[in-house]
Amino acid sequence: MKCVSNNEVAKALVQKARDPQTRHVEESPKARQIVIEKSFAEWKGVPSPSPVDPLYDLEYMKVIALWREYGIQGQAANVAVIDSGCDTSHPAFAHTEIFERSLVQGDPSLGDPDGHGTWVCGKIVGQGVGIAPMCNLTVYRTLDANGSGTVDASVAALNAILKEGSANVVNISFGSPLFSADQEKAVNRLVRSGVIVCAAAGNYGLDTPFYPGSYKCCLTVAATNAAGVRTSFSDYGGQVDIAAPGVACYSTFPGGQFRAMTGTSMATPVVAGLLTLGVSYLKMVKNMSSRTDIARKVMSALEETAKDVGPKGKDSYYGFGVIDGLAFMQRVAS
Amino acid sequence: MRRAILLLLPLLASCSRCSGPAAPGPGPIAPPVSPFVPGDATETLRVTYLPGKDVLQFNVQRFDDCSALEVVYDGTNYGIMLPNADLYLPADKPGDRHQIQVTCLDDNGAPLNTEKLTQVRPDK
Repeated sequence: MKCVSNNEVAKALVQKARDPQTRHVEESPKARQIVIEKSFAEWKGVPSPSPVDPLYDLEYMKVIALWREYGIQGQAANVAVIDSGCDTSHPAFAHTEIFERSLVQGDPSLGDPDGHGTWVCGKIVGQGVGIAPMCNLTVYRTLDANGSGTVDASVAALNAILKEGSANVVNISFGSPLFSADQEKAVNRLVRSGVIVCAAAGNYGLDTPFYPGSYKCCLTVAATNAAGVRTSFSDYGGQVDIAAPGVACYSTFPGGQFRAMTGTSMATPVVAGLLTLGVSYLKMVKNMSSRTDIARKVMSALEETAKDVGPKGKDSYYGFGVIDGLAFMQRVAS
Repeated sequence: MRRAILLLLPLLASCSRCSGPAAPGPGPIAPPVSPFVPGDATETLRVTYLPGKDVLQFNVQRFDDCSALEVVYDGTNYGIMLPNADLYLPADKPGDRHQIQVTCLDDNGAPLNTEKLTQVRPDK
């Protein structure tokens, strides 16, 4: 598994994060001001009605069979979404309790004035549209009403997740072409503590870095269409680890609405949701408690069971391949 | 160092929730328990009317051949859920009429059959 330390290192990292004596002053003030500007090129491309069955992504992953056969829908698994917030008043979230925090500079308000975060949250925990509707979700709002945010805010969110020990899986469906050493360090610390960080590959359709997805320790997700074929907008390159449905996927939107959206932003919570089911199974059924052991197990299962549809082996377009829900859970349970 | 502190202060000043725990959202709503009659598969669903939300519960006995249900309510697809799941809907008013379409799905999500019904909220 990418970048995972052993349990002792993981515990030490979390403990250090909780130590009030630990300095969090950034090393590079200029880098902190980098604004994540392109995050919504990802999803504003195509809010799309589609002839495809709106819930084809759930059906593709055989989510119904997974829920029934393995008896889990995400219970005991903890997920963090770093995004534009979440409209927790949506009926699709009424069955659960979503925790929220705003880290947007100058705007501590909760909710989701943009909509992107609500969509992502719904794909993970939404009743009817989510893959793991019974998981525990915390939302860290780092993107403002315009869909923009700062690296500072994303780093603050990553550090908060580490300090609180609140997540098995983190979803980041945004990014920037600009590298940040501080952001990379924060991601690395989190992953070494046993947290899986899923990040979008980017929507430029180029072989180009897109951070945080391009950090080595992130699980980077490319988008496929309903036929399982890589989309032309999905970035590619050595950073791509896995591919999942990301065209006209259906999920929640503020104001009680639902929308079909397209982008690697959409594919990322599909992967995060599937991993969450795996985490849930290991915790609930196998009684595993070590976060790093759980992370290793589900990550190995994801990589080893992906459908290798591109050039043989790990390739720049699909990574290890397209996710296979049933094969993944069979491997997790084995 | 001073510049770093000046840049840091606005972030801290605005980040009023950074030092505390995340705040919970509205939270789950537990509808009153209104069990269906054991052995009776004639009733399809029940609606419980709560402040701000309606809760729709399916008679599992009626859908015992279904792996899951896909529900379209007044033309909006509310997605796929297990038959024993509670479906939360926007609150309505007494006298409102709703069209509900429930599709029985197999393990692969393929439709087995579809039932359409009209539900009217009682006046009281």
